[in-house]
Amino acid sequence: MALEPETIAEIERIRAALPEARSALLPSLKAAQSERGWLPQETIKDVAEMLGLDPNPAYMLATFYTMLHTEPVGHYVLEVCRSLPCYLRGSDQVTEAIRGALQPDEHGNSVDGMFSLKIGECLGDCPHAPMMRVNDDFVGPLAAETIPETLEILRRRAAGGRVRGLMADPADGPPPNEGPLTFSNAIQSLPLARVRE
Amino acid sequence: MTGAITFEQLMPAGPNLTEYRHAPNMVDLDVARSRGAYDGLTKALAEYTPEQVTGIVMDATVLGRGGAGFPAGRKWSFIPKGPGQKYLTVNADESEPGTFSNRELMETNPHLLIEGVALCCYAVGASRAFIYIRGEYIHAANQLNRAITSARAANLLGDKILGSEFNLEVFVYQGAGAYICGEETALLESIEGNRPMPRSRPPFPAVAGLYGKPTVINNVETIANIPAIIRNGADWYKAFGTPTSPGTKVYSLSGHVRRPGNYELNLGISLRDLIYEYGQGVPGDRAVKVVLPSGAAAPWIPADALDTPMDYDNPRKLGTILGSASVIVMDESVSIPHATLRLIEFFNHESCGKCTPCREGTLWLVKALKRICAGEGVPDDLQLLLNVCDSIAGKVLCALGDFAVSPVQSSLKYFRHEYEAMIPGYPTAEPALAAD
Repeated sequence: MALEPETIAEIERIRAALPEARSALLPSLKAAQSERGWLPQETIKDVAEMLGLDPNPAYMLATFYTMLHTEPVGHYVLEVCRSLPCYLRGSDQVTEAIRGALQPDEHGNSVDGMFSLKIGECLGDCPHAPMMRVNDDFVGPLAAETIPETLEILRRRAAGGRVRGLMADPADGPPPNEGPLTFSNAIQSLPLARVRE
Repeated sequence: MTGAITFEQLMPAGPNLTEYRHAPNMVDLDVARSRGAYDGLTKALAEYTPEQVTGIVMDATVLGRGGAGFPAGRKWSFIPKGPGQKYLTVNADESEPGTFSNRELMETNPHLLIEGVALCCYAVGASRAFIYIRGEYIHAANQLNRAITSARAANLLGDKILGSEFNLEVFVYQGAGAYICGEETALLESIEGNRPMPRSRPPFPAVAGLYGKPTVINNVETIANIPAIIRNGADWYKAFGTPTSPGTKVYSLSGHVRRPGNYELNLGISLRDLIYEYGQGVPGDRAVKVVLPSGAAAPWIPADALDTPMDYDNPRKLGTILGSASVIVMDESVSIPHATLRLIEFFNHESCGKCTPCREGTLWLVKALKRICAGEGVPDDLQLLLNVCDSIAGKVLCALGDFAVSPVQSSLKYFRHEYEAMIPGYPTAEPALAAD
């Protein structure tokens, strides 16, 4: 399970752009994570070796940062913000609605491997509280009542794009060669809470 | 105030960091330049020595906008003169709950920050700058990278900028989810590829910072203030805000207000005006219960002190700080022990684990608060909470631990009765004196 050529090229680009090799470690781990959405041990080791660094510091980073995953995650990582501004606007009810709809296992993963539910701390989008991060995008304000619909739209959306992570068999869906997902459309079409009072 | 108001109408005359927040395509260099971008840099390179730029910023008294309020010019003056590699690191980690002003500045007007970076680096003699941005701010990071690429192509960055002897490379460094990276020495550790845990000081970053070299660390908003100051001068800047807190501040307003958002206003606006005029009051016209002036971190301001001017001086009289001016409003419907638990869960989640008092203490606070909120507290728990606070504050390497005790101490100071009411068997009155 060697690094993919695109990842190797990206790490070389990162290394060349930064003044010190050790500074390339974190961005290189992120680049490697984009292969399958999470970082198997072997991948972490490969990244460290490519940069001429010991694997131990690389593991230390991978296990520290919340955006680096050392366990498999779903196609969508849902990080529902629970910090005070979102809490005051009902984030706990949103989390419960997602939990109810997905019935996630103890790692937060849905049975079909499509979603991983994670705890989010303030993501810096409080005017849209309660909100969550869906992979690279912020979505809000959310409402508990429309969560099933939101998840269904994301599910449909993923079926038309590149499938990764826990998704067992890409052959189950349409051909995965339609290019990487562009989330902007999906995000815009998600049902959001009605404009508050 | 009735009817729809636009952000433009709210804008004070002044630094106007947010002036172009709705202007389309400000990431495009030509668009940005048509609105004055890099005029300050052009002027500085043509007319001022680096020392003069530092002098103007010092005279303008730009107080650090990240929260500490340390004068930026003085910070710059600590950097040793002469040859040798030096760095500027811009703190764009912005992870304090309720803080979202830096993100909007970077997304809507990235060239403003880049120009400020160039001016600071020129002043302190740094040829490399890092903008450390939290990993979740993907769009903002993309905007910055696009701005840097076009600025570089126009010789506003790179070698011999605008024909001068000044060289500068700017790197956007994206984090990966960790509040602690907003702590300046943890931020440096993160860039160096280590686990982001705070360093003990001294040495301070101005002496030994990034890669052991002299380093200035400033917040996004601090740096974004610099271009207008260089264009217009220190006296112009000092006409805004208050005599001891000059300029404007981008207040992030969230929680129980009808219109949450970023409001750039003269320093010294009262919480009442911020909440009722700009935030358009509390939903359902419920009463304000308490205000958190600086995210989760700072001691609270009770509802009877809403007329406090939010500058760098007046909140101190209430034992708190302006901080990052991320104002979270809680109305009368909130259960204070539950809200406090949520705040402490944040600090417990984000404690980096280096210092035992913070790592263990925040966990103990969470456990005791959960017990109380579940109706299973015991009367001694309130003293236990305060004791744990005493065991954390001042006994850790960085401010995270000090911040973590604020919600507990503030909530017990102003709302102790709410805790008492949740604890079975809590003595409801002073015990009667035993009859002799």
